[in-house]
Amino acid sequence: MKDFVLGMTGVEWAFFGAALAAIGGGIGSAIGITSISNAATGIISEDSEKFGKLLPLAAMPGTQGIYGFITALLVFIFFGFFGGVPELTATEGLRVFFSCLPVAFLCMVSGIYQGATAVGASGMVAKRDEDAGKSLIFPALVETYAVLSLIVTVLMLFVLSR
Amino acid sequence: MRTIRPIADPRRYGFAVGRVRVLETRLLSRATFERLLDAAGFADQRRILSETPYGGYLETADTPEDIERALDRTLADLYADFLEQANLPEPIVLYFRTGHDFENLRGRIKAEALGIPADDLVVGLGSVPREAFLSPEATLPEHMAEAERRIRAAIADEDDNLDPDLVDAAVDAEMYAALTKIAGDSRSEFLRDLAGFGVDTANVRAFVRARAKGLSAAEAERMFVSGGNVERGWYVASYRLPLEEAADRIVRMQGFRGSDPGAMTDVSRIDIAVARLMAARVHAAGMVAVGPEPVVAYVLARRAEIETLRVLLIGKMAGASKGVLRARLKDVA
Repeated sequence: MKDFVLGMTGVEWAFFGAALAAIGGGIGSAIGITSISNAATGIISEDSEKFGKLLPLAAMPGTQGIYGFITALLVFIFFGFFGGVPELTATEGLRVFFSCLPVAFLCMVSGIYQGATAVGASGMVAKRDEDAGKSLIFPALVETYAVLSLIVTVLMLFVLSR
Repeated sequence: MRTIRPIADPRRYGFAVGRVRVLETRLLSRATFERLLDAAGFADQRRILSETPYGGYLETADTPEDIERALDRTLADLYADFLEQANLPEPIVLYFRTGHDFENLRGRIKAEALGIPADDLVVGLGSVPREAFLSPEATLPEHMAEAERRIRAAIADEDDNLDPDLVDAAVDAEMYAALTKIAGDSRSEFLRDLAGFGVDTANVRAFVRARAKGLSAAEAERMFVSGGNVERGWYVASYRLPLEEAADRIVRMQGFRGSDPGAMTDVSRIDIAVARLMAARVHAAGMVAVGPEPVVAYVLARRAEIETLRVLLIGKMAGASKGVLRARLKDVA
């Protein structure tokens, strides 16, 4: 294992980081959307008119997966993967890998918790139609930290690519 | 021994919780109960309920028996349409059904001890079909047959005659043991806590009734069941104390804090006092965002609602005073 890690090339480290960001964000979104979708389908099964009001809540944890995808895409764009396999030293690759970590971890965790918050908020929609707008606020607060992690990752990748 | 799939992932309850959030809005309000209380008679009450989910069930009801049957049907539909259809883990469904199984077993044994037909004492809401309790030839599932054998052994004298006075305590002991086992297997902290609280309230009720009957501590001990947050020995020790001291100890028990000591030792007020504690617990459980709590709380709230309706409708028909009916209303609505 030690030999495998020490023997990884820069390109492999960069791929590893990009993959981790996409996987972490994807896991967070999948779990978060599953949580809120379960509750939303339960509400809709009793009151189908709530569909439109619940859709934004159900879609909200999906952004973390998009952030992971954007991060992976930026790694490929900034470091010239679309023009062929770039020349990256192991140290440069490792830097790219570390740059991907904020999105990989924060998007995974925030996606899960945003789903849980959205379940609570869906209860508001179920009880009072007029609170549908307010119900979006609290899950949106969780989104803040996913956005911040994306900004940090993008800035680090930008600096490294110059 | 039956195996029960454990429940650990709150996401499993998402769909059921979603349904609960809508169904909660359809529970009868305090204002509706007040209107039922003030209604001139059953016809008026039926008109008020025609705007609620109970309307269809009571449409053709005219007698107390009709009302009983109609309300039993609403409970049966709650189990069939909600409990069974909401993708709930097996222990949650079993927890509610098992209580009815033991009520049916109680009816069957009591009927035999008193020499009366069991038809009116057995309802079809449990996990075991009603018919299995009505005919001595019908075979009960092994776990129920074992419980029945133990109950019979506990209440039979040397000539194998069953003592009707001992039936309730013996059935309660078996029922709470079964519910505690289901709750324990569920791995749900809430269900375990609820089962423990159920045992505690049953013991406090038994405590108050035993004192009202003037039973000795040794006689009262047989009425207490195991599996609660407080050991049986504690009740026996408290039973020997003066009433005021015993009441003081009860209101310091977990789940009973803040209760009125007078109500906790008064046989005419204990049921309402305990129902109030349960209602507060149910209300708190309903506030949990996701998990078994809101689901169980909703079923308990519906059951309490149906029982209150039973009292209000049949009570009104039987000519019970408003004061008596209002006292009952206070504990749930």
